[in-house]
Amino acid sequence: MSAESQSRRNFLRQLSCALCAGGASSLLPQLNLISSALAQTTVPGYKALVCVYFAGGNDAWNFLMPYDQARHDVYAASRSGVYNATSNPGGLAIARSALTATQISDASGSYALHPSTIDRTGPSQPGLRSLYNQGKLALISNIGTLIQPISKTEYNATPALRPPQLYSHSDQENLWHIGRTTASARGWGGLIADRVRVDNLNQMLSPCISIGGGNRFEVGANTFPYQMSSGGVTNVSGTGTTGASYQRAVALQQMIDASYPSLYQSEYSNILGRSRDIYGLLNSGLASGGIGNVTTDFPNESLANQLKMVARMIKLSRDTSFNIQHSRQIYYVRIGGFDMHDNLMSTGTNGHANLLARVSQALGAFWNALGEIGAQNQVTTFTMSEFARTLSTNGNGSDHAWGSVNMILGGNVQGGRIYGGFPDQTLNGPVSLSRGQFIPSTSVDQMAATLASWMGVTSSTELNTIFPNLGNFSSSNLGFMLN
Amino acid sequence: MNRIAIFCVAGCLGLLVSPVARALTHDPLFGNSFEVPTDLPASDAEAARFLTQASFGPTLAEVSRLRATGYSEWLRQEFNKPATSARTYMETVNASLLGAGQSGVSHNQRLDRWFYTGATGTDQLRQRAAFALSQILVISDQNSSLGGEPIQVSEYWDILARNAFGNYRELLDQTTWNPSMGKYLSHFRNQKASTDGTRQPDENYAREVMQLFTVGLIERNLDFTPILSAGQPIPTYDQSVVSNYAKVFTGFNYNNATTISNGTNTYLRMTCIESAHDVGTKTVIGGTILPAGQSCSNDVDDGVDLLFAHPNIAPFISRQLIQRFTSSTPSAAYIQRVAQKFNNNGFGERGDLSAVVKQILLDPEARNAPAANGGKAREPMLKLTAIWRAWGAQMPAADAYGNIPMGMTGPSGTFGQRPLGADTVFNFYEPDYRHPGAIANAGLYSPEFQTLNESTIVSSANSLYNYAFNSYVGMSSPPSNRPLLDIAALTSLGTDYAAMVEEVNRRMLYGTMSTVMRTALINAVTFMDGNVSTSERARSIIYLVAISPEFAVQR
Repeated sequence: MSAESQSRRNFLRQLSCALCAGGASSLLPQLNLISSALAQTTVPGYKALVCVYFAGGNDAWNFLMPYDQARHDVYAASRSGVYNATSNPGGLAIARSALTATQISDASGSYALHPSTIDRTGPSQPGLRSLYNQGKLALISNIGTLIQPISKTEYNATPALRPPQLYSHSDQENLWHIGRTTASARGWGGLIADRVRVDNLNQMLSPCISIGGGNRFEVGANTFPYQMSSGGVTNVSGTGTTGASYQRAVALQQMIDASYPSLYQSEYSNILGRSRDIYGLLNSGLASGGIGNVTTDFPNESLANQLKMVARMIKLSRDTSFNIQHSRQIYYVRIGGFDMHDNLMSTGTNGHANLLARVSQALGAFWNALGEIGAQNQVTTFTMSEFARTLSTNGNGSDHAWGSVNMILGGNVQGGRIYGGFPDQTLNGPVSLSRGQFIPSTSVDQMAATLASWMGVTSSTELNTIFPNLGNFSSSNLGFMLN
Repeated sequence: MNRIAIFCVAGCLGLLVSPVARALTHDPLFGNSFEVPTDLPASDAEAARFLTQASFGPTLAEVSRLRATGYSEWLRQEFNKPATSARTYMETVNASLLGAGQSGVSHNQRLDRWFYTGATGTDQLRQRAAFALSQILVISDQNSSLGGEPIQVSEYWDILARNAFGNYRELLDQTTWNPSMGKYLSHFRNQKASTDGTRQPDENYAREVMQLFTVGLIERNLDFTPILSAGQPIPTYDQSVVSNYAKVFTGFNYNNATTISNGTNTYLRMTCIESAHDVGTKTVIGGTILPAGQSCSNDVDDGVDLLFAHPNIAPFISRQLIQRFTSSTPSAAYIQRVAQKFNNNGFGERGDLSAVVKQILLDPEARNAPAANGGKAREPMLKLTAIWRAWGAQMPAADAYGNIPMGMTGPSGTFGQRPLGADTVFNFYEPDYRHPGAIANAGLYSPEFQTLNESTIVSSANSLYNYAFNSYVGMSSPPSNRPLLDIAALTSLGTDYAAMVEEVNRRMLYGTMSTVMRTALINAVTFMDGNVSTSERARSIIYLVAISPEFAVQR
């Protein structure tokens, strides 16, 4: 028996215990819902996190910029001046005049988001700037991987206080996923799921679902992500219920059910078996005309396609007429191309502006789709990226840095605010190194623990187990979630 | 300090000649061709197992050849075969297309060429080694700067193939100076810092040439185990070393450029524009200081020499090559035996890849009966080439422009893999990936599982359905853009389904099929209705094996 099927049985045991406490009728959870079914067709108390990962290291300091003249001047100087294709091709700053349409403000001052965050037209949908102004989008400024708070003096004097392998893509991405600074095979999303999945009715479908490929974030002790594509689920060709294809299906299932001497073989077998089982579960719901459809218009590109499938899966998973009925889920989607050592300011498809426009429009469509299915308050979406990039230019791009800006989006988010404080953008300033790499003022763990609490992991013991460094920081809750 | 001096430090036994010439001159096996081979495979199955590791899949003919030559002589012959060129092929097809008023070649033809060479090329081991190296020294046509440059990317492939059994130092030299690598990791047109210091050299190549192509992030013993200090790994370099190497890699531009901004787009080796090169002192790996005022090429030679001389490079590169050929989780002793060959091929040469590849394939851990968790997951694209080769697939005719279409222009979406087409410089999967659950809990590595999931396992299977089950000689209206499997050896067996299954077992699983699987397959074709053709029964066996757990792993 595989570890996973063992864990599945454990969960089923836990589930049945939980139900025993509730009395005989709860042995069939659907019975509980009958009385409210007429008014409520969705699983009560549903909550989901959606992680949007920006792969390659987002140049976040061109996503959130100071707008007041004095600080914009500092920003522009640190970025080698305002970019101009002919007169200043190495400059990485965006002109203040180009930011007028995407101004935002905060108690601490005047800012702007990248010009790509304007509203989508065609189908009229909010961009990130509007979502911020509506109070649905919060920003966390100068957030990054940390063992503990670290001053510039300490950074220079004591390398052991720095997170391991700063500036390396793979290592820093890993630290964002695992929520700690020592080696671990598990991610904080998966560890949250371990603790909150017990009330999910269908335990065959993992509470952790990835449309963005393999990731450590969603791996828990007893939870492994189910991976699907933005196209939905597919049956194995040539296998079916009649004729020769039935005989092939039987043989395939016998091979899946067999035991193997090699863990590589048995894991392949497990994945294939699970894929077929979950195809059987999801196919009718995701098929054309199935109840997992949403009508909101999404742009047709990779990130939007992934988020559309997330919205469809959320709809399907909450629906009490369908055999998923999860109350807690964690999704993962991914957009690549942020490692812009070159072409940062390009206006083509390979430039940062295009990437941020994709992000803004995909999240705007996703927000509307959540409105369509009545789940805006139940779903909190957030971004991660391994690091921000140097303020200073390398000629036509920027290099790996550290402290960054990330977003939290949701109906339960106390948005329209910048959490964490905006750093002094002078090169080699009080919190920056020579190329404008910022020493973070807020830890990944603090953001993650805030989200974990919202998902229901509220005990400080549990939070400190998931995030061992959390006690090193002044607060384990940044306050950006309303409840 | 210069490259020759570093070579002398690394191994002074031989003459000081260029690494490539050295690799070809002292071939320890040369005399063996006059003698009776002493290392013959014990069986067809043993030969086929070796060829699964060393080629794009065994064929009946190669099994026979290997059984006649023995392993060492087979390797010697493979080492001496010239590389099948991708670039010259692409240039020929491109000229035909342009001559006919068409737009030129794209990466589609490059992928056609890759699959065709894998399926039919005579330099099987060389191409397989190039594929392995292409997953270490990564460039990718997914990068916008290379998306429109299929001929240049083909030349990069040829560099890997030509140097697959040469010296790793030479390979580092040719890839560092290659314009496609320059564009991919952005040292192309990288300039020294501006006078006011607001523009600094691009750190991209500087970082990845260390992290991924040579020494890795932490200090290693020869067997790849980390060297610890107070229980902690020791970083191989820090950010200041990256910044200094960024200065080393400044000034590169097109071959005929005379300034940092002019020049003609070409695959030829880049030149270095001295006026754009940083001539300050540079403190590089190990604290070594490159003196001020050096020429660009001296700086680059010295900087790369130091990486090549670093003790990490042997275990770091050896372990990844083992993972690509034979084993996802090689023992420390296996890595050490290969790394020793990297450090010294037996003739005082460091970096001889033929010695490395030979040790990988002939090592007891590769040749002895497989351990339970030995071997590795097959790479998805290699499943397809293995199936074509196992069934003597009939190749399509060339189109009007001389291109032979293989129908595999989008393997990323189905297989999660594309030759010189990874999503990032970290390849399709990483060498340290451990699939969560039983594999990770057992302490195993499983790079290929990083792209194997509930979605891709089906997309891969369904691609094999189209390209194996549904593409065969004798079918009505056969597709003209892909090879057709020749299944006559199976259909001629008529209703002897046990024999049919056994023939598939022999060709695809070198006789390792389990009893459970054999029974399942025999039953499946036996219980099919009487109106199901012999062909469909035969192809059902091939297809089910192709997507089976047993074929998924080469052990």
